[in-house]
Amino acid sequence: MLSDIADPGLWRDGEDRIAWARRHMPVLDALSGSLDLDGRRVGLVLVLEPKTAVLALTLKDAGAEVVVHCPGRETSDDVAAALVHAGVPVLARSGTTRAQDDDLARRLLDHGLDALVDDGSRVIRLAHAEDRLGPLSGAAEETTSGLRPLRVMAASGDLRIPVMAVNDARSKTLFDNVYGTGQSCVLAALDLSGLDLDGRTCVVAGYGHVGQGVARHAAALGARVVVSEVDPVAALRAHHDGLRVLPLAEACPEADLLFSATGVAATVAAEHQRVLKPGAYVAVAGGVPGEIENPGAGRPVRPGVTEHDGWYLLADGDCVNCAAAEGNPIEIMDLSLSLQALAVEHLLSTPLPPAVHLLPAGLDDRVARLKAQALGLRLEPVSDLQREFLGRGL
Amino acid sequence: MTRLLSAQAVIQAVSRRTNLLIAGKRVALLTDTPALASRLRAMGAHPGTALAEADLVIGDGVDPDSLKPGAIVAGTLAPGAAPGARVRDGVTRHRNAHGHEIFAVDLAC
Repeated sequence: MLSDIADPGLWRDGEDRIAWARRHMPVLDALSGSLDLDGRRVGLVLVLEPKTAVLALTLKDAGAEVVVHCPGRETSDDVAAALVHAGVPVLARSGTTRAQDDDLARRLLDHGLDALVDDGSRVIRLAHAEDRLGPLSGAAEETTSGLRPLRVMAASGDLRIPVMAVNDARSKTLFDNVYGTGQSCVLAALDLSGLDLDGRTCVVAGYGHVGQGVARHAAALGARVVVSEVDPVAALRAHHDGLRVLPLAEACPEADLLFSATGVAATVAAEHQRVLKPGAYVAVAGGVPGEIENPGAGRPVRPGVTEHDGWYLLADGDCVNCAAAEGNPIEIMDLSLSLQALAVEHLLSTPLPPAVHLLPAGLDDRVARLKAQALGLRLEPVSDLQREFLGRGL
Repeated sequence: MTRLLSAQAVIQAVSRRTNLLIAGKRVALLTDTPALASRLRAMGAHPGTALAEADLVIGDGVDPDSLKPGAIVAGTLAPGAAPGARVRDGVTRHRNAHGHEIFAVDLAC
């Protein structure tokens, strides 16, 4: 397969960045010797940056024929070049349109994949819509917002392959979504905006795992955090975490920085945008297209910042940590991408019916145990009496 | 350099330069910077770690020979430290007297 990348000559910079990431990914490194994917074709559709490149190279070292694709807005051209230099075909160029991204995704699917790793389930859904599943044995999905439409498809009988809900593994969602997305989105928004959060008000729409992470990191930097929620349980949780809970339209006039962390389109609607105070910044954490409803083109102020009737949109309303920074921190993605590697191996070795499947708990525990070992954490052993008690189901 | 930056600016620079996680990091702070320590702690880091056990050392004039392998210095190394090689933008790799790799993050960039 011929690659389609922007500039093969950028490979040295990409290689340096990949080497730095690999150094901080001990779990994937520990798994690499035991993975067996000999001769299997694996498609990776993930934000194309150094951490995901380490996953691609790990799967290749395990014997897989790996092909990488990524939408243009999430592609690092130097990393793409480094992968091609290392013998991994890549279909991704920065600056492509959505139509061009779909064409590249079709070329990926037409390669005849055995397994697919997706982020946002865009390519899984494209394969279903255009009947391009081919020999695909199954897929693994990385995100909450990607799993949601797949579960709808499964409920209506339209899902035709097994999908591993990697997002739902404890080693993923309790760390990636909270610490990884929380840290990287808050700090990327501060890099773009130039805000000093100390004493400012940060409004967080959505208090799921991502919203909790955003709130935690904003509060850590001295912000007063206000949460808006539609779910009464999540609202109660925010309240018991010591945070104010308000409807979004009431919170917006106070916001110096507003995050949409819902993964739901039209979260920040026109009525919310109208009541933002002048100078407020708005960003998306996690995210799906359209979380900021029709903001329009806006007036460019500086790279990554556009002005809209007195308030400022960061990174064009795309997920701010991927669009304007390097995505989630390396150590966090070591956990998530290790789970992806194990999910691929599981999909290719275990016949499963078409449905959304949780990752087996043993694989989740294996990743957590390897990470704890790498950190030098020592675990308390389970005693025979405890095991007997638990075995009685009491 | 670390004295001239706000706590938030130091954290932003470390994150931007390294793409590493703050939570869980064992951090040695070489100066009395309570605002930085409290923010790091609230983000899940472990400020107050001894220099020889730290994953991340924040301060200036850091002796590279006192660090564990792979440690990251956010600030400056002591005068006379061996020159480093570029790893990525704002990060250089150095070898200390024990032959261990350590890394320096330039907060000024």
